[in-house]
Amino acid sequence: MSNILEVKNLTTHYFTAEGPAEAAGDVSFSVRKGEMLGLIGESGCGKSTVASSILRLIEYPGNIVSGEVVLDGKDLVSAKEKELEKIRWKDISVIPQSAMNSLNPVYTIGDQIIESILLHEDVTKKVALERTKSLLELVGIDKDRWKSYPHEFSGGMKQRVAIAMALSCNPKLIISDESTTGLDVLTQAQVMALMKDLQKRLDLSIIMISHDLPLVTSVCDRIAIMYAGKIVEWASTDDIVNDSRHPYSQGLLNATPDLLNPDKEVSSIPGTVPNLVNLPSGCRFKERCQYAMNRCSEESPALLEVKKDHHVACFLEEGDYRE
Amino acid sequence: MSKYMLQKIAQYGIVIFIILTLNFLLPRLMPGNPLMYLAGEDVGFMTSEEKQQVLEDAGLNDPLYVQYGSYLKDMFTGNFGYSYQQKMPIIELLSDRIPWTLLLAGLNLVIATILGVIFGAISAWKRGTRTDVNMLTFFMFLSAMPSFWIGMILVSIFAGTLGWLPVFGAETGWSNYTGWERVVDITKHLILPLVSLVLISVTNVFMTMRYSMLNVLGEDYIKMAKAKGVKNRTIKYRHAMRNALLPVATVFMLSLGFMLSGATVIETVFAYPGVGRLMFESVLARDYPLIQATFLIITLSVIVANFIADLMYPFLDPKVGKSNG
Amino acid sequence: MDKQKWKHYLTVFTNNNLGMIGIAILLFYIFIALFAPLISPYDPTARVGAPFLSPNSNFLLGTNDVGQDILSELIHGTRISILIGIIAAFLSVAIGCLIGIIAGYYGGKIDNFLMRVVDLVLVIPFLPLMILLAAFIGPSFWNIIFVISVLTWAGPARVIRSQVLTVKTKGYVEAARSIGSKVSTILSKHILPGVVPIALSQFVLAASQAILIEASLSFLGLGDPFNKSWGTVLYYAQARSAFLTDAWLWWILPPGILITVLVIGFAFTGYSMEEILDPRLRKGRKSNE
Repeated sequence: MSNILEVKNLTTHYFTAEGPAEAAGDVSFSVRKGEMLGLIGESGCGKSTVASSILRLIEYPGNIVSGEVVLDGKDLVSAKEKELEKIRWKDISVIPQSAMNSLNPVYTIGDQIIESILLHEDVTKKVALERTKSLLELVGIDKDRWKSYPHEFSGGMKQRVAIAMALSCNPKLIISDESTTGLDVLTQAQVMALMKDLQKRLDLSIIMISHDLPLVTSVCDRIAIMYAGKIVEWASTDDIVNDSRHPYSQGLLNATPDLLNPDKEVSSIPGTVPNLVNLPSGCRFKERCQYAMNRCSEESPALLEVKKDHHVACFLEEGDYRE
Repeated sequence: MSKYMLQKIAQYGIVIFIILTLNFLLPRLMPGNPLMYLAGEDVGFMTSEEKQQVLEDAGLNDPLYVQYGSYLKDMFTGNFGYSYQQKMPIIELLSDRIPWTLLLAGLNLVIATILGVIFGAISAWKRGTRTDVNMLTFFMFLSAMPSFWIGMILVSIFAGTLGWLPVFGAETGWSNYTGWERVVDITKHLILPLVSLVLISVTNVFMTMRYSMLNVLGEDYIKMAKAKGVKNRTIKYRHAMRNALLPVATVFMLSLGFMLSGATVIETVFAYPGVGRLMFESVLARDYPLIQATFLIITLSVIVANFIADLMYPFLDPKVGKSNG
Repeated sequence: MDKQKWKHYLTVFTNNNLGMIGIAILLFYIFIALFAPLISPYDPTARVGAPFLSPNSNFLLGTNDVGQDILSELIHGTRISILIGIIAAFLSVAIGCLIGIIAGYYGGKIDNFLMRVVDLVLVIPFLPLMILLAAFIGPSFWNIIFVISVLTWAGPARVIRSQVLTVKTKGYVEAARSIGSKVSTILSKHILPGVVPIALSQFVLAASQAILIEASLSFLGLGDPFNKSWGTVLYYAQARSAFLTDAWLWWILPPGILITVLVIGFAFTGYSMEEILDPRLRKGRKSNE
């Protein structure tokens, strides 16, 4: 399977008053065609920064410091703003963190979907409207509601509108940025099911950004786990669940209760996420890691492929340190 | 009719009622002879028969509620009484003056709003840059200056020292200009008062627009529009502008009063023959019926303008009105 | 509010340049107001020279239409303008506090009613109403103060109310209420201290507003004729057409500059106080620099 998107050594800093904060440090991963990739981590770990970096939508005072984002052989980091305007939405669209606030309150949802179609395709307004209607039906909204304003929809419905909008130009890749956060559990499950269903039917490639590991494991093909601006483990969902190698991934799995295995002991990871401004040298997880050794303070572990399609950034995997 | 509308109508009805009542009670409750408020300080030279006659004519011997009834009737029929100073029915004085105020205040409203919105938006788009800081400093100093003083300084420089523009009035007296010449003459007289008025009114709009634009630019839907590949220009004008204008509409309504109050002061500085100047003249002459009438006209027009703006608000903001309606 | 917190405010304030400039300006004016009789070269009410004199070594800002020294008028006017500004602002904020605390603390129907009244007052354009009131009750020092404070309390009332609402939800207030403390105790021991800092910054902003209003009223001939303020000086300058000659340079320009700088002094002080009280503003400012 071919890669639709490759992120190579992406580093993004936020230049705060206290100093630069490395919200994404040397991040590399790729997305295959027709795959749903989960990018997960605690809030503030840099996953949304990665999402914004891909489309170069980092806001002041942030900036991409180095790295490449290659879409179909073209690097977006060095592309001109004009070229990016064409790529945005046409090739990569976004289902945003909070659909409630991402829809412009003074325009109807139809207007907003039509706007994105007309921006990128040379079609008449009538054609765009017809497509808008069918997109709404596709996500389970009555097609006549294109005339409604965002505030006339419930949270879950707005999320569906956002999905319809993301699909409007048949993009090569969709980035779903915590798009079900803030919805109640039932609605969340419905929206997730809808996304999975659409992904299969339309052969979509999706990056699913979330802090909710169980949610992601239930729908994604592969999962990358981020901690303090770094990817610590990246593998198939099966490997993450059954053969996780990084202590942080293991900690995350242990911290989630399991419905099917109620006897499982749930334990949280001690300690807190380090401040991204004054990062300690070496591995960023070392202060919370039960296996930490001297080497962890001296150098930073690289993301290595330990077996096919299973990448881990931990010295434990380099030598045979584990008993 | 929506609940929103009914609420607004009730609200403004109460305000108007209070204003009318206050205006009615003031001369009747103030210490001193109510006659003085009706006939001026000449009261002292009247015989007691004459005094009785004036009281009788004005209905001041009737019980208060009868007086109030006829007062309300007078107000709604435009019968504001007689100015003892200018020896004219007040309604005639007013109808001479109102067009000038409408011209001055109306142009100011349009110009100040447009300038405030443009500068506010630019300032917000360029936040933190030199342009932004310069604009903020300029408007801060402007708002710290007394409004009438801005007018006085302008008149000193451009009319007094440089002699470019006329010092006072709305047109040259006894000139008998007609047609185009008259238009030029009126425009020349209008420039200084209008510029002063714009200078004192624009700060409010600027500050609100800037603040509101900053808020809007931080909204998710702006980020979203960017993600959609919308051009920066389009984002500014189509997506940000309209949302940012909503609060400006509210402040616009609240500053109508401020702008008309400003007109009162500015008209005084330039002896511009509007309602505000009339109020000043009546205060100087202690012409109480005229003070009251000008007060009512200015206040009521502000309130009515507010009311109209309030009624228009739902058309701007799809959230208001529909959800209540 | 404990001492620690005030100390913290003080530190932040002295680190705030605008605030320090504001305070310096205010101190300068207060100094002039306090020592006016000692500083001013002449008695401002005495005819000490020929009318309409240009500035010279005897009269630094010339004389007015009746031969009074303009500089002395301005120095003494500082007293009147500042006093009216401060007293009117104090009363305005005091009324605002009273209404705001009652509305915020009791909530419900009382709150609803009072806030409606506030809305009403805010809709009425206050300058015409002030002119009307001042014309009827007559121009005098206290009447001007009365007119200003009775028509400008609504803004502060709204701000104070929302602060009371915030303070009210704090744990210690709820605790005090639930153990049945007397209302007067809760108000004076818990609510009031939480409101005082906001009220102070409101007071400073109200003072700058009151000074501008006083100037306008005096300019419209509604000032106290026996206590000339800067606005009154400008009223006479206007009435004697000072703008037609160079006299505007020493008769119109200086009083306006005095007013503007004082208003800026109050505004700087007020803004930095607000910033200190609202750490979010402080942070926002910093990260934008």
